[in-house]
Amino acid sequence: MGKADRTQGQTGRRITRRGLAGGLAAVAVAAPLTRVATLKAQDNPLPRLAAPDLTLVGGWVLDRGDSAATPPEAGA
Amino acid sequence: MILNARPGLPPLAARYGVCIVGGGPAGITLALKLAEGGQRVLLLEAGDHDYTPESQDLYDGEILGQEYPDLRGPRLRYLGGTTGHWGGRCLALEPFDFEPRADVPLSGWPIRAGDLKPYEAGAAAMLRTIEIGQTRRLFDGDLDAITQRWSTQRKPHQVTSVEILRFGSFYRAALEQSAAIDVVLNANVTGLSVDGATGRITAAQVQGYDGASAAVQADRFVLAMGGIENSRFLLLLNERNADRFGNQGGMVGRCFMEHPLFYNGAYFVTRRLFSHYRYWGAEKFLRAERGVLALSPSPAFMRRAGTLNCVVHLSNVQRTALDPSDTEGAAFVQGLRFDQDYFFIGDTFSVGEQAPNPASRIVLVEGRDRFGLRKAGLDWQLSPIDGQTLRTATLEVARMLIRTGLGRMKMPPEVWNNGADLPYDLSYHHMGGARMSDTPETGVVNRDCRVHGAPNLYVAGAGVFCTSGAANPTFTIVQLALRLADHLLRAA
Repeated sequence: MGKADRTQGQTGRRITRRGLAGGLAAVAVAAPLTRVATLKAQDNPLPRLAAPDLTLVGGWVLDRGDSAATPPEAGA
Repeated sequence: MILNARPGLPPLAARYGVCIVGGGPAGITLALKLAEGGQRVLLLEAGDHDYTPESQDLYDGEILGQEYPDLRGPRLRYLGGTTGHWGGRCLALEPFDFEPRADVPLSGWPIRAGDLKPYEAGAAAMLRTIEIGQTRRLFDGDLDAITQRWSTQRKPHQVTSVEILRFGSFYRAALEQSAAIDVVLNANVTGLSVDGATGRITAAQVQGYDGASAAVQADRFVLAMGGIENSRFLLLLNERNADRFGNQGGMVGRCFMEHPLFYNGAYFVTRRLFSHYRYWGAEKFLRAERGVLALSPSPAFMRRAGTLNCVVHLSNVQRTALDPSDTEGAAFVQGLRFDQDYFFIGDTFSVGEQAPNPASRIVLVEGRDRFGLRKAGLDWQLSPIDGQTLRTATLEVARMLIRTGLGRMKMPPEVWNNGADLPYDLSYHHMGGARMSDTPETGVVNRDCRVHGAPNLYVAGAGVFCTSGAANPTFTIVQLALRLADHLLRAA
């Protein structure tokens, strides 16, 4: 049996520390990356407004076109 | 080793290579690096291992200008200095911050960001964080995402620990075990002896709290007492020495800068804000409970708008619904549904750069401390551009949220209404007063942090900042301390 064959036979039957650490590391990296990828796939529920016309309503900076955004408060 | 001047001053070496006055992040960093380089170091700390009223009371002073809290509050006078209560936030000054700006008088440093870059890895190691790397990444149009880290005591496997690094306790063992460093606690430096012919500092006058006093000798002296105390000490030194130490142009104490800030209130975001930030998911995982996105107008935007640097922090992101009190009076926001129309909420606050202003300064007042030394007076002054910077940047972030459909944010009416007094809060970052400059006409120390006119007196800390940027100063303070250590070792 060659050297490569012997090595394959040993690692195939037991979990090494390096293998365990590698697996845990893969999970640690994969979890947030998967979450980000999943969230990226979601549609954005608010429309994009290329040139918003800002107004302050109840302390919130809104576009004048936001429903019920009137009456606008005086300001910038 | 760590010695104590209580009840009496301990026996010390006849002479040290470097005497450092002040055991905060700058002083401790400097001491450890100089000792590594083979220097014999004396570190004189006016407080103890922890808070004592008699030490803290020596920070008493007067407020003369813009409203500011009692000077005993924001600072800590014991080993580790103000890292005893800091938030651990680390950001690096950016290349833009070092460059001269035509519309900002006294802007521009004698050094550039590249001069501090070699000390980034060392500062990250001292602060137990990871390197800052690239400070800005394009976020959207005129806004950049700013890189920030947190200084924590965690080990690499302690991913859920957010315990902030306190220099005094964290480096106590290293200071105790170093044979090259003598730390003396409860040792107040009340003056320096000067060779009148050469201007060399020959000794530091030390006083304990029990009446004991002594003079300690060293080849070189470094003031690392914090932004306000460095100015105060240099003013006292110049008062007795005909303004020959960095005050030839009357610049000691001038251009004191804070990072004015205000809180905007709540914001909400759809899923996309943070998921579009490439590194945020991994960052939040590694820095548990620290999901904070920091946005800043791009340098091009700042130049175009004529404003300074600013960072708007979208912090404390949570997966929960808005509090009803936050939506009162805003029917549009009230009509949105958590988990369908928006998914995350948090708070925002804006931190701005303050322009260098000679009228904003530390002075000496008539009141005296227990050692008979005149106390500090803080005459902090803001300029119109400081408020305009905060307004403009905050509005740009609000505009970005709408333009991209990512969400909406609140803003105080005083910020929205031009002309209203801004609801300023404070960062308790004390910068300037001993600013770096190639000439004493515009500064106090040269590019090596050596006091103009003094062959062997140096300043460490944020007092040497020429401009403040919008970055929390500790990371830069440590970078500058490492650079100063290099200089002192080369010149030894």
